[in-house]
Parts: sequence; C-alpha cells; structure tokens
Amino acid sequence: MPTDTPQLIKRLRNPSTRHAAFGEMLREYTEPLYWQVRRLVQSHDDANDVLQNVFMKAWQSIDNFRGDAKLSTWLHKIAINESITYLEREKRRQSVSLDDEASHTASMIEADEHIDGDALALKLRKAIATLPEKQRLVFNMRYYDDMKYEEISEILGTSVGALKASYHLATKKIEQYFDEHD
Amino acid sequence: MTVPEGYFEQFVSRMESQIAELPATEAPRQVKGGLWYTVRPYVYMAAMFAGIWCMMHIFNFMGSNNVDLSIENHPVVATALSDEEFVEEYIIPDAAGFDLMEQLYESGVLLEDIQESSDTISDEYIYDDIDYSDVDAPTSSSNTTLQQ
Repeated sequence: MPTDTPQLIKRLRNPSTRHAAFGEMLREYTEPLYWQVRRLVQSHDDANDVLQNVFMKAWQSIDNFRGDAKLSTWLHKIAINESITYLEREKRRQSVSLDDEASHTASMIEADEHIDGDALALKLRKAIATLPEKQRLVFNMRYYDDMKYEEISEILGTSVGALKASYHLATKKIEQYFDEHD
Repeated sequence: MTVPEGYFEQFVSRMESQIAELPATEAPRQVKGGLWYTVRPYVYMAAMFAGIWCMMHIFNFMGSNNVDLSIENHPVVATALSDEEFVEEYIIPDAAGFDLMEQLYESGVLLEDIQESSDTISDEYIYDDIDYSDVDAPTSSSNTTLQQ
C-alpha cells in the first residue's frame, strides 16, 4: 500500500504543480487500484477502462478533495464506486438477472485470457463471484489488499462491526463453495 | 490473474499524456450564500410560528368580540319587546289563553296565585277545575267553566 505524503496532496491542490504531482500519483497508485478494480470487474479490458475513468474522475474532482481522508482512501473510494457503476451498467446492458450473475462472472473468469493456470486461485475467484456485492468487496479488500477494517469502513461507509460480520459470512460461504466443488 | 507485459508503465504514460491536455484550473468553488444561507431555514421557521401565533390571536380576538345575534339578544327584538305598545298590540292579543296557562303551570305558578291576582287578568283567561291530563288535546267544547 503506497504511503500518502502531505506534500503530494499540497502539490495536487496547487494548479501550477498539479500535472507533475498527478503523474507522481499515477505511478504510485495505478497498480494497487488496478488490482482493486480487476477483482471486481474480472476482465482485464474492463479493468483498464474503469481505471482510466477512476483517474479522470480524480483529476476532475481534485479540488473537492479536502484532505480529511488519506489520498489512498479517496482513490479507493472512487475506484470502488466506478467499478460498481460499471458492473451495474453492464448488468442492465446484458440483462443479467441476480441468479445468473455468479455463473455469468464465472464464465467471464474462465474466458479471461489474462489468467494464470493456478486452479486453486481460479476456484477462489469463482467462489468470490458467488458472494453478494458487499461481502465480495469486503473480502477482496481484506484478503487481497490486506486493508484494515477502519480503512474499509471509511471507504464503504459501513461500521467496523458490520464489516467483520460481512467478512465472516464471506469466508463461510467460500468454505462451503470449496466443500461443494471438491 | 495477470496483466500484459509493461501494462502499468504504458497505462501511466497514456494517462499522463491525456491529463497533460487538460487545463489545471481550479474547479469553481461551491457558492454559499453567507450568513443568510445559514440562517434562512431558522428565519423561515420563526416566520411560520409567528404567523400561526398571529392567526390564533386574531381568531381569539374575533371570538371575544363576536356580536351575539341570537334571537334573545337581537337588538331589534330587544327594542321591540321593550316597547309596551308593541307588546300589547302584537304579542298579547296573539297569545292563546290555554298556552299561557300551560306555561304558567310549567313554571310552577299555582292556580291559587293566579286567582289572587285575577283582578289584573281578564276573566276569560281564568279557568277552574281544569283536567290537566287532557292538556294535549284541548277542545272548544271542553266542560271548563269560567270562574268569577
């Protein structure tokens, strides 16, 4: 997880130094944000599109960033919102019902050309795809990004207690998925 | 999950070139209406309560000064009833003797009292031996007799 620097935020807020600071921010946050988005939208091409939107949104609303939260939290929030918006739009476009969503995502995972041959990892991704949206988000942020509950709470606007409950339920469901697909 | 080789470097340079074309102007700040913007809802609420208070006072004032136009207190009727000439001319002659007796009886006036003051009442209105069980259906041929 990249570290925030107050100087970077200061330079981002100053129009004369904004371009250079934004380039620095891009180099620092592109990779973690990409994986965050990729785990939600599954496909590399979709993740690429969403990530572009994330940085464009960040550029447009940099003046509204008051600096109360960490820069990384703010960017993760934009990334998650953009990913959810993208998924909702795709769901409407393809008329995928809630019941079909997990199988649709599983088929997307299998069809993704940018995937390694680890069967266990593939199985885990399929199991995660069966989770409800909130549990999926919490599990990804906690398991893959190793985020603290407090930080997830700030990004998702949910209490720490509720996040712990979501994570617990998510792990139970994943275990169940693994038992059923042994 | 994998990414194409050199993807992140390419992405950063592509985004940098896109951003370079965009102006770095400060976004217009949210315009706030200053003190008035802050106090406006409180002023509106205060005005609403003041309006309700005024309306209640107006209704109360109208209620307390309401002219009683009931028939008992009607100024025209009161003037007419205070005029003896009017009463004698229009009210007394119309009063049926039997109705008068009935009203007096209901008011607790005894026949004896009426007899005592009979000198002020015309003889034709004084009855003796009235059968009050039959008051609902008086007839002109009733067997009441006038008393001296």
